[in-house]
Amino acid sequence: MRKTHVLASLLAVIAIALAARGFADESESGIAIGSRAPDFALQDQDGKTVSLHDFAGKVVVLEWTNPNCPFVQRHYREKTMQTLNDQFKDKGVAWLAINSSFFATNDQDKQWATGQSISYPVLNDSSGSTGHAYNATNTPDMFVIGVDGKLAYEGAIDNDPTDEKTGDKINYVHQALDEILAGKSVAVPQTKPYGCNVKYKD
Amino acid sequence: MFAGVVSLIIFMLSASSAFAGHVQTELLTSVSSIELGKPFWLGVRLTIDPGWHIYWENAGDAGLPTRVKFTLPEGFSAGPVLYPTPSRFLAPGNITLFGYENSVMLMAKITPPANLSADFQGEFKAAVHWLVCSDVCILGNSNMSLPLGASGRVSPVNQDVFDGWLAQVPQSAAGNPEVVRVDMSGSGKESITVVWSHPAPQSVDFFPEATDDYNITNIQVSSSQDTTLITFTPQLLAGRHPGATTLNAVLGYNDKEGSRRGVILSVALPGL
Repeated sequence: MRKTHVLASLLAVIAIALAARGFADESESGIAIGSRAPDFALQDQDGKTVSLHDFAGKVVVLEWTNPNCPFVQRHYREKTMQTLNDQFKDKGVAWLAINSSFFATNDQDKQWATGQSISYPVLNDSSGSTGHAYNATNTPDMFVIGVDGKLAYEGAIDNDPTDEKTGDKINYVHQALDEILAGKSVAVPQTKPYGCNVKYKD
Repeated sequence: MFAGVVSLIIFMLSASSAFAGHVQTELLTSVSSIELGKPFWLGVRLTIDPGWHIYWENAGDAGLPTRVKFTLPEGFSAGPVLYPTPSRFLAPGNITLFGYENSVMLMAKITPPANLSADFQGEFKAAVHWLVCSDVCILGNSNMSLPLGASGRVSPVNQDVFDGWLAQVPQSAAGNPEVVRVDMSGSGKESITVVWSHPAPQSVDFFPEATDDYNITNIQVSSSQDTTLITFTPQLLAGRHPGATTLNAVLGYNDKEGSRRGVILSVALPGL
């Protein structure tokens, strides 16, 4: 009786293992650091189409955003994104914000950009297709693409999810941009993003 | 009538409550009066509006852990904040979140000082921070304070509430009669086999604790007869070179009575 029981358990484990195999290789973590950043064509807040390939030869920062998210609101209030863009925009770095919320509209993006004095495109990805291609999970979720078109950094804007740090705050995007422009390799190429989940349609 | 008034007074003395956008919070104690040399519990109960959720100590792919900080009178010490076994939510875009719906209580064991005076009277404070989400997310926080002394009549209060939530705090497999055996194997892809003393429970979920170095991906949980198999892939973040690491995780399930239970699992990851 005991033997049959053990055998049945063993068979069950094998059956489960075989059944689970089909899903096991599907990666959840998006594009790997060092691989080519997928191209996209999205409308900005004025309805103009903006593509990643428009910025060939430049360093590109992608910022997943959502005007309704308190983490995004905090960083705009503290001018984290605007200041960083101002510091690097004349050094061959382009900045693109992407709104993959299912409720995103060009009008809302324009209102947000005007209200926050945003000088870079805010792209409408309400279908979520570009967000899914990058596997952006949070707002904010930051991606830095090198001049070679390959992903050089992905993750959090900084190491301060709870807005408590002062002297020991590290802005990972600032750090990565400094390293890229100095021709160095990025020391911290991946971190865990923090924020609201991207409000995808599906 | 008299009993009703007494229990209302006891409730007022043993709870302090606040409301802030979709989450109501209360600070509860497990005793009406502090007894010399006897630890007791403080708990922050969060009641969450339907359709909204808050987060476990590892929020998952996004979100923010709910945090409690107790501030105690001099000489008192608090144990670690205990989080009941969470639930798993799948948001659109295959985003996995770990947290709580409806209500949860985060608790800590409080130890009084050895030299507590018989007429001690003090304020016990708790600050709680959370992120509550549905289609939008809202940050919230609440500060609560509860007076408690050593001179009153000692009797347990809120006992069912504390018993119920403490039973939902994950325990080791060794202390759980429902778990017969846990086997682990793997390098690259990890597998954990759990053999139960009865047919495998429904709704078994695997909750890894937060790690800086790994993304825990491809979590698969499947059960057949008395056995549950969990597999996952610990994926190193680019540029990380950790040594051998212990990944702590919680196996969550609902028992025969439908109560939430959790088993602590420790998985050895080889590192680089």
